[in-house]
This record gives sequence, structure tokens and C-alpha cells, in this order.
Amino acid sequence: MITLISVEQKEERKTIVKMGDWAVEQEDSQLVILGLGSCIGVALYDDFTKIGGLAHVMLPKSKGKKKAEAKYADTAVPFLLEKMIEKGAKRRRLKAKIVGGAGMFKTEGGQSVMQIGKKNIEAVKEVLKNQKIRIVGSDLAKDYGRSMYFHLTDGKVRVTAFNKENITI
Amino acid sequence: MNLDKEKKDILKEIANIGAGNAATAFSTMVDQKIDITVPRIELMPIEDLPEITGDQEDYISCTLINFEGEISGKILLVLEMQVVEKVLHLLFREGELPEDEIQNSALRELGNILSGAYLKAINIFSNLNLSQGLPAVAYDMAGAVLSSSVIDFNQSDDEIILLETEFIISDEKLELYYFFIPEEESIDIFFQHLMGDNLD
Repeated sequence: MITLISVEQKEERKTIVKMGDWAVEQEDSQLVILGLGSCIGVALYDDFTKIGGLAHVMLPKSKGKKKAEAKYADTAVPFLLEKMIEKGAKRRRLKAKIVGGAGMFKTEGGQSVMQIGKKNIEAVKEVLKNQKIRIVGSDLAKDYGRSMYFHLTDGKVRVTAFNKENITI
Repeated sequence: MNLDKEKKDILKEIANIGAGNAATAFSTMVDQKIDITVPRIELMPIEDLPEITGDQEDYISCTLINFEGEISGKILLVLEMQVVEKVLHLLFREGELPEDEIQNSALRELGNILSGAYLKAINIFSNLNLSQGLPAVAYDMAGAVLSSSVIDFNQSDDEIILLETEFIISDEKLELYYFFIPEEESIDIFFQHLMGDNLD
């Protein structure tokens, strides 16, 4: 007896996450941020359920603001956790990959003018530490913009930049 | 934030005067006729800024200048990469372009001169005292550059006011985007100065 197995290549759904926004999806999906400068893309992944969440963080602290949770490092991480757990992810399985936090603008002599990228990196690292989520991959700081493509099939994050080799973390 | 027609007209007038003055300075530098478009005033969520020039992954150059004084905010001069090279050729007149750092320096200086002319016109029009900071430059993806340019604004609102003018170097059809972005509290000071008691 011959069994025919049809192999279907599944198209990955692509969700673009804008500045200050977030998204949670499961499997066969790709969460994307285009043009990260001093902002940080925080990707959380549960490799058992293949649920992934991505927040596009703009600033370190919310100063008690109730809306736009994904915009600030201190509120984005707990918020994303909650949304992922609602969808069925388990907190103990979550691991983080973080990308961005560059210093984009330079004055004469090559000095970086805004320190916001650096502050964002510190804030994101601190909140992940407090939430006991391990950072398993990162591509941070320096002076150039990045785009990130977070594949929920395997949790890999591809990072692209101008005049740089693509890297996968 | 609330912008009625009267306020929009005032901002348009400011952008027009500022850009007109900047265009004259620019024209003298490159010895070409410079046209300016009618200024566009937009109240937009800060999240939309990375897309204003088109694709977030377009390669652009952006010169950023902070200004402060009685009002504060930012000025951005944005050029697509293919325009940068042509503008540099105009600035250096002839021959091959000098090394990168001198090119960067020329772009900073261009931003400096255009912003100086723009702010001076505003100063004369509104009587507000303004000083400009050191220009800084970035070349990269539009999204990365533009998002990072205004991120340190400490606004209670999540909207920004953008005054956009395009400079067109007539013979070359080169477009340069020029953005004037006042901080939120500066807007009220603007209107108080310009409308006096009529402010509602």
C-alpha cells in the first residue's frame, strides 16, 4: 500500500510591530520590527507552545502612565508576559532576546548626542532580571539601525542592518 | 492637543517665513535657485514619525539640531541617500568628493546654516529668543533615524506637531525634507506671543 503524504509549505504570517506597540502570536508567524534605532525590540519565546511576544520599547520608564504599556521598558515586559500567559505560554519556559538601543546621532568628533539607547538597554535588562527571565541572545548598542525578524517556528531572531552581515540569534 | 484653523494658519506662516529665509541662505551657498513647497502642518502620533518619508528601511541622511530658549524643539533636515551625494557635489562645486568626515562636516554645516536662517526668521516674526545646539548627523534606515530623533521629548501627550517644507533645487529636482518640531509646551508660548489676548 502506498501512502501519499502531501507536504504543504506553510506561509508565515507577518506582523509588523510599530513603535510603542506589541504583538503575541503562535507558530507559523513572524513578528517584525523595521528600523530600530535607540528603541529596543524585546522578544519573549516559549519553545514548547511556540508562543512568542514582541514589544517595541521606546523609553525606560513609564512614570506611572496607565496606557501604552509596550512603550516603556518597566511596563512592557510584565504586560507582554501577561498577554503570553493568557494565550497559554508558561512563565518558567520564557526566554528573552533583545535587539537595538543604538546611539544614532553623532556630532563633530563622533560623539553620540543622545544617551537614550543606553538607558533603554539598562532598563530592559533590569526588568528582565527582576522578572527572572533569562536573556539568551542580544544584539545591542553601537551606532547603527537594525531590523529584526522573530520567527515563532523556532524562536530564532534574524537581525539585518545596512552594510552589515545578517546575524541570527 | 488641539489645533484649530487659526492656529494652523499661524504655524504655516511661521514655517513659511522660516523656510523662505533658509532657502535664500541655501541658494547663496550652492548658487542655484531653490524653491520651497507650501508648508504642511501635521499633528501626528509620535509612532507615525518613522514613516513620514516613505519606507522605514530607506537609506537616508538626517541632520538634527536642537533649539532652546523661550521655546524648544528640534529641526531635522532629511535627505535620501542619492540626494546627499548630489547636494555634496553642489557644495564642493567640482571634482571628487572629499573623505567621509569632511562630507559629514559639510552636511552638519548645511543643517546649521539652514536652521540658523529658519530660527532667525522666527525670532524676528515672534520676538522669541532662540538658540541652536550643535548639529548631529546620522545615516541609516529612515525608521531607525527618525524614531530616535524625537524620542527624548518629554511630552505628556503622545502627539507631535510637524511643520514640513520641501526644498527643491530647481535645476536638479532634488528634494530635501525639512521638519520643524516644537515641544508641546512651546506651542502654547508661541500662540500666546502671536495671538495675545485672543487665545482661548
